[in-house]
Amino acid sequence: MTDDTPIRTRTPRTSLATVTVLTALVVAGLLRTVGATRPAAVGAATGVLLALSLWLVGWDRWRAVGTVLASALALPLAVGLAVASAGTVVALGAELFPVSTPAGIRPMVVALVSQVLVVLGCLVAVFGASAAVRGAVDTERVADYAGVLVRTTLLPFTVAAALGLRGAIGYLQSNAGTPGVQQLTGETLRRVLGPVFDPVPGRTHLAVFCLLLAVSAGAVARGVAALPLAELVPETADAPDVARAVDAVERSLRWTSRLAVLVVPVAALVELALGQSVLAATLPGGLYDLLVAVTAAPALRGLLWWLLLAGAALSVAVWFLRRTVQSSADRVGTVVAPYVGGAAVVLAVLAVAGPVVDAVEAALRSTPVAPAVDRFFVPVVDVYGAETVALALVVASLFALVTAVGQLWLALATTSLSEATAGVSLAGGGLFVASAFAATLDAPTWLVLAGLVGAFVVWDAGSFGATLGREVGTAAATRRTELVHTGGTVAVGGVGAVATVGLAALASGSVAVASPVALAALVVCLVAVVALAVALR
Amino acid sequence: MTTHRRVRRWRGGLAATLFLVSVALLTAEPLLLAATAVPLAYVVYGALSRVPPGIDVRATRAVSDAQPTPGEPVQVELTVTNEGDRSLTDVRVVDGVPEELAVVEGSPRRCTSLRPGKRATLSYAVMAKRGTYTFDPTAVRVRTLSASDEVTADLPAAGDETLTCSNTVSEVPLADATLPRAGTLPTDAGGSGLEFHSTRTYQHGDPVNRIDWRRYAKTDELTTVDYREEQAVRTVLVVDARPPSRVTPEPGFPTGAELSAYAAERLFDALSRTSVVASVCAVGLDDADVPGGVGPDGLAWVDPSGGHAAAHARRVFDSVGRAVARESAADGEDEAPDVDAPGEASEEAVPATATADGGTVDDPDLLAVLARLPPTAQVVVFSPAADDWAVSLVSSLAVRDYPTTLVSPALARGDSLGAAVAGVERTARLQRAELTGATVIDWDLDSPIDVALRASLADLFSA
Repeated sequence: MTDDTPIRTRTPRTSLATVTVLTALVVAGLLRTVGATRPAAVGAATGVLLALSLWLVGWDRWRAVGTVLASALALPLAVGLAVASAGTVVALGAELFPVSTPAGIRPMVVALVSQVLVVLGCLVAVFGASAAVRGAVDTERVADYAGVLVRTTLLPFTVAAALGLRGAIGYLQSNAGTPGVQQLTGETLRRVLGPVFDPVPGRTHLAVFCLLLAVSAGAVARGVAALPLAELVPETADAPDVARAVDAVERSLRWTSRLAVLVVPVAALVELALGQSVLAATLPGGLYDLLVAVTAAPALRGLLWWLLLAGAALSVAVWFLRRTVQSSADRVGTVVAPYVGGAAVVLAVLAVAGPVVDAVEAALRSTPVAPAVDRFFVPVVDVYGAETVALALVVASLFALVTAVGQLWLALATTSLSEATAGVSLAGGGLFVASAFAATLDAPTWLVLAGLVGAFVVWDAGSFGATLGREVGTAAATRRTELVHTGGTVAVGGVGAVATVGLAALASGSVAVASPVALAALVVCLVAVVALAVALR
Repeated sequence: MTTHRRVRRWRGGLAATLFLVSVALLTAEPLLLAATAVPLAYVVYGALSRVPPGIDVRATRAVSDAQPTPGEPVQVELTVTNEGDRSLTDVRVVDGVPEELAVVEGSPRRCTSLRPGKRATLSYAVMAKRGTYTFDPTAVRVRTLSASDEVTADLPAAGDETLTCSNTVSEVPLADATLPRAGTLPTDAGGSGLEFHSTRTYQHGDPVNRIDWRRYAKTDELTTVDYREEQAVRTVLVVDARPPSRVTPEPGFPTGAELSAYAAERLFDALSRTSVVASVCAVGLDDADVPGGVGPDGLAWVDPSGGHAAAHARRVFDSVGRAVARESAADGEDEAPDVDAPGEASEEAVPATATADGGTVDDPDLLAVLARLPPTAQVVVFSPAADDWAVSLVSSLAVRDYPTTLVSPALARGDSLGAAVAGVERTARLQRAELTGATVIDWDLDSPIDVALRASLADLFSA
């Protein structure tokens, strides 16, 4: 086909309509068979949101806005994914369990897993069909989106890790009274961290204090040097000479820092080798008392810590601003947006942490794992705090989302999923898996068969439309051919469905006894049919 | 040429079968084992369906206007007929539109189902360009209902195979504009001629037949009669083919330079039918574009004195089209620079300061044109006025007292912001050119150039 005229190579409308309508119908039917209706609905909505996020990332017209929105949608998506999978388990666990007899456990587990897979299959199907509408699935876009997600996750992960570390250290230190390993770790931590954060009053802490002073003064000096103070003052004759003042402050801070560094080894030697009594005897009484008061004052320690943090934050902020003014607003928006999104996620989670953890706890209590709640969940919340736990849950969900998108990227990059038909392949695959697992639930046979045939029709109409769009373009009239083709596919599916019903009726009588021989024979028959089909090709 | 290809698009059915068997074994669900019939049905469907042998598809092409003018849409209709005895469920047709022509309406592609003896027609319009273009064979692809087997063939279509867009003139254009002047320009100087101008005292050497003998008989004084002197009109057609003028309003549309050359050619044809002596000059061409290369001053100049002037002039006009084609080929996939950004184009192409007010001019092309113009010439400048060059030339000519006409094709089309800005800039340039005293012909592309020229060119010779 040699025409080079530029054409719009999107999938024609009729095919898209077939894909979306059929997916919507089958998903609606399948989700009704799942007991947990709310998580199922959330799962379907998550599929749409995921497609929307993916499209937003590649929104060329407003790149920065698209990235911001995609980053902001990461939290609802992660929560949606968690609700669709874990939420289904929790909701159904409450319904299906406890089981009266041990023999009943296996069917219950199968039912539970099947329902979760039906929900996830529907999620994938809805995502694929929605993405196919705008042609949103391609390798570059998915890679971009994975990058946005990773950067969005970075800040919540860091905060959660810091909070977790703080909780863990506090917990380990509080365990110092318990004998065993816990006592050892508790004592060690207390010895290391005590002089830094929590000095014992009544003695000097010169070395640690000087070290802290050196670091804080250095950080503040860097922060002051980074600030464009001199440039902000107008250059008039009577203006104060800010540059010189700033210079003086910075120099004195640097000298303070250097001196303090010099004092550290001497002070450490004196404090460790000579001891407090010699120090008290050598120094004049007033000076010793002053040193004790200054170096052990908790307020002063706190101030130094805050100065250190402020100086570091100032340096980073100024460095960041200097970098950003040199690039375009769009680029800055694209790069910064995920971090801002991450900050929003942290703030949102911290704001609603209490009620969320309570709700999770209440939900868990209604499931068979209720005894474990008191043994594991409640102590963890007590030790780490509701904020840390909620943040950790969200970070875990975000990780799951990143993993899912990463797998999608891998499939596209290795071309095991073709870019042109990625959306419809996912839609068809999702529908097929969901329909297959729905068969193990109480779904009516017609629904299962409709789902299986529908999966093939969705994939076939979508991929046929993609080829049609590529070869003929959307400007040409193609509806008739599309309808004829889809009609043929539906007819073949109908033949398959009728054969299934016939086989099932036949099998229900003949394979009544589940003997291993019959099963093996069936498998061999199937293999033979597949081999025949391959040979025919 | 026919190619046959099998597409293994249903092989996913085997994976689906294995998946169903696995789930059935895992969950002890007999329905799923039976349901393997569904994917297997599709596998068999894909494996068994074949394109029937002996397909007979014919294509016939009809072009609505065999000799259009450049910039005019031409309707093309391609009819595909299934002459075989089998129904074809999926026939895709792509007409072999010549690479140089752009499709402006409809699509040269179609997908349809054809019963035996039935036909389907696809119609589209291409933008005509100067030259003869041959259609490529029509590509036809036939697929089975399952789309797992396809045959692709290149069919030479019957009917019209070429589209010719030339300058053949059916009527003599511009006759009323040029004939009354008979190729001469009356001057205000006395000398030999027909019309009485003045008398003066006889000077030694004056022709005897101009002595006023009656007066000599009466007064015995020798007097010489002066008649109004008549000079041959020398018209110079200057075509602006510099890169900034090679802008196009939309892909496939002739560029400003090509339209200017086309208008110049029409006028040249008209003038050469009368006795007006016309020179042709194209500015901004490369050695590679013109057979024999451009002159040492960078101009492609054709004088009427050299013999075969018409053939040489035609070659120069063709060179403009060649230059445009060469440039778009050099740009690779990029089309000729868009009319939306005339400023950028002019900055790249004219490093010298070409001022529109006739001040300091150091553009080499402009200086070359001024240096080469004969003293009694009238100048017609053809330029899309995509930058200030044409206005600079016109004002420089006005300063030197040349009667000047500026013919400018209006390129800005559509209602985009860029087109509007380009249109406003062009209008301002044309107004500036008019203020310098030149006649400005604003050629709206919707009307033929002949109409625009006829309406305005009478002024050219009435100086």
